[in-house]
Amino acid sequence: MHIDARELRSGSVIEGDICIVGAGAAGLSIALEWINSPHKIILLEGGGFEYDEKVQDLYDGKTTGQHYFPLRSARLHYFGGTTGHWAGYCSTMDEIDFQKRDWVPYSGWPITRKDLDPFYARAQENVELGPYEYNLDYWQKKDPDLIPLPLDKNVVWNKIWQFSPPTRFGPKYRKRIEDAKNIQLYTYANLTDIISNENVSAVKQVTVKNHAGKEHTVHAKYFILACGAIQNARILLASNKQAPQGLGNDQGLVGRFFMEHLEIKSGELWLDRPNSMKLYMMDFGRTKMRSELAISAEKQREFKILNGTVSLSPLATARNTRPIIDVWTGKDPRKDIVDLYQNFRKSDHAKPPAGASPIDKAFQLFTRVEQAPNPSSRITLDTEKDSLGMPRSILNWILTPLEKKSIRKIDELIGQQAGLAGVARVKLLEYLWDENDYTWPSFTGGGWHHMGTTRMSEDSKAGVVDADCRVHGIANLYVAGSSCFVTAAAPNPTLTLIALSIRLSDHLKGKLKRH
Amino acid sequence: MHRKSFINISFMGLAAMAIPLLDCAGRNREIKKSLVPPAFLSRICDAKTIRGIGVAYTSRFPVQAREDLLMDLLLADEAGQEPARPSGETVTASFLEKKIQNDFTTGNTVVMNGWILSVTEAQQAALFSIMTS
Repeated sequence: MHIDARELRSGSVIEGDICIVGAGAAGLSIALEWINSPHKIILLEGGGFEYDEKVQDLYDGKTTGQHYFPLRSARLHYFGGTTGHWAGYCSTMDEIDFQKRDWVPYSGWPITRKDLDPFYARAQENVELGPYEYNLDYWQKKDPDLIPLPLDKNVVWNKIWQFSPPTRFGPKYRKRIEDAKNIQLYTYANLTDIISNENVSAVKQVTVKNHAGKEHTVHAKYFILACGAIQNARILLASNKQAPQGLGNDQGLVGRFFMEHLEIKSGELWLDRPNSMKLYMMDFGRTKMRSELAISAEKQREFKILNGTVSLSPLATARNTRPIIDVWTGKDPRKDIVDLYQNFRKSDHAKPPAGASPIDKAFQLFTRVEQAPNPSSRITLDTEKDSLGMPRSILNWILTPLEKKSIRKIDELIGQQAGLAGVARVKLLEYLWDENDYTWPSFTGGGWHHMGTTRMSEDSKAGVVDADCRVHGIANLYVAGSSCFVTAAAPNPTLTLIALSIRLSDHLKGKLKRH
Repeated sequence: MHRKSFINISFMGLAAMAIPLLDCAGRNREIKKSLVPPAFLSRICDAKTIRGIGVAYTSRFPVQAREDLLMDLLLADEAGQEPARPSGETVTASFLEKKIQNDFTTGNTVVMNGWILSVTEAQQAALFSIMTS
């Protein structure tokens, strides 16, 4: 059932068993799990089914530190969330990503990759991927033309990515949600405050508002915040009536450890003879899978570097592509996405005709590396408020030397292995030549991947949520999404955050069954 | 001894001494030529780029900026001992190819103008830059 919260009488009280705040990839994945269950699910979406300027503006905020995309356009604020224009890149995290790594400060999840495996398999379906197979052998059996570069697997291996169509959660799941008898979807219901009991051990109710001037209250047994890593932190910090530092923020950790993926061109791979590169190429909307070059866990340990993967694209085209940080500059995400695709199309047209030139056998190395968890990289609240009275966000994005060292070493290892195999030479881009230079070039960008601001830990002094994604110290408040990530790994976060959300959903099913 | 005979004998003696020297110089020239340019790089870069790599190498290691020393380094075996004198272009090419392979295996690599190279091929580029400057 769908209800427009603007049409309700102001002061309405909404009640249910579970209240999910946010209808993006995480929130909708949880809601889908509860269809036809005996429980009443309240799904709150701040926007409507279409883009709305006033609602989108609620995401505006300031950025400091490393240059970043405008916050206003870095996520989409309507039913379906940022899946409304995501590119559909999916892959799984590696075992090492969950482990404590001495050289990566604050690393180590309270769960393992194995714990997440069954949920990854289920998450595949939500984003309409192929089989839950991330092994090159499987895909090669299906297509023998997928030939890897002859590099030593103990150093550089082929990490498989799969591509969602990409699934637009809004149009894809709207009808199922609207038709579900036990789900009440409220659009234009922006959460502006979480009210806890007196001793701040449980959430009593949440307040929702909209631009029609309506204010409503929601009561539920359990509440799940699923609004993205910036908004989850913002909501907890701003809910400070009973807890002056914000909910779940006794240790001052909410909003800290903001992570992105560093996505940056880093080098060039020059083959000396034509090689089938089908395995590495991607034709947007058509390719179902491809491989990126990754560094083995052993070599990550040996060189004390972060995890990352490197994609290859024809250099003749890639050289003409403007950096995404220079393209995605506006405040309207609808225009930014058009500019982004135009940029790719333009560079393709600018490609010189294929001939006998060596550049026809050259590929750009584009490295995507995890950002090391860093408490100084964080979300805080501004004194300025949005049109519904919520303090706006400030992002202070801070990188460390480890990210740059890792990018350089990853490309260097690929260069050494390509040289050893006698197939290619690698040229690093100039900003990586001096190993003692830790500055970043102007084209440094991210992937619009926001993670880590309510990090997971079994220790309430080291994390905001526990291994079940429950906010430490608050019995019925959960967080879903990439804000719970402890480390960022290399892959785009969507598949993992959906897996984690389904896992949270199973946990709550177990709890409700017991009661 | 008659003056004429003396001149003849002296000339023959000088010729006997000079011919091997000339031959040796010629062989050295041949070997030197067979050491440059680095084979793989010449398939993917132009001469200017290779020269640039060579100049970068000699700037970083100025003591090696001598043709004879670079030749010795290139012809030394994998343990850096006694210069080998492979004869013929094919033999030299295969000798260098093995050295380059060994460099990459042992991590004997350098980054020159951003290129991740075996030290051997960086030295080849250096010799090339000196020879063509």
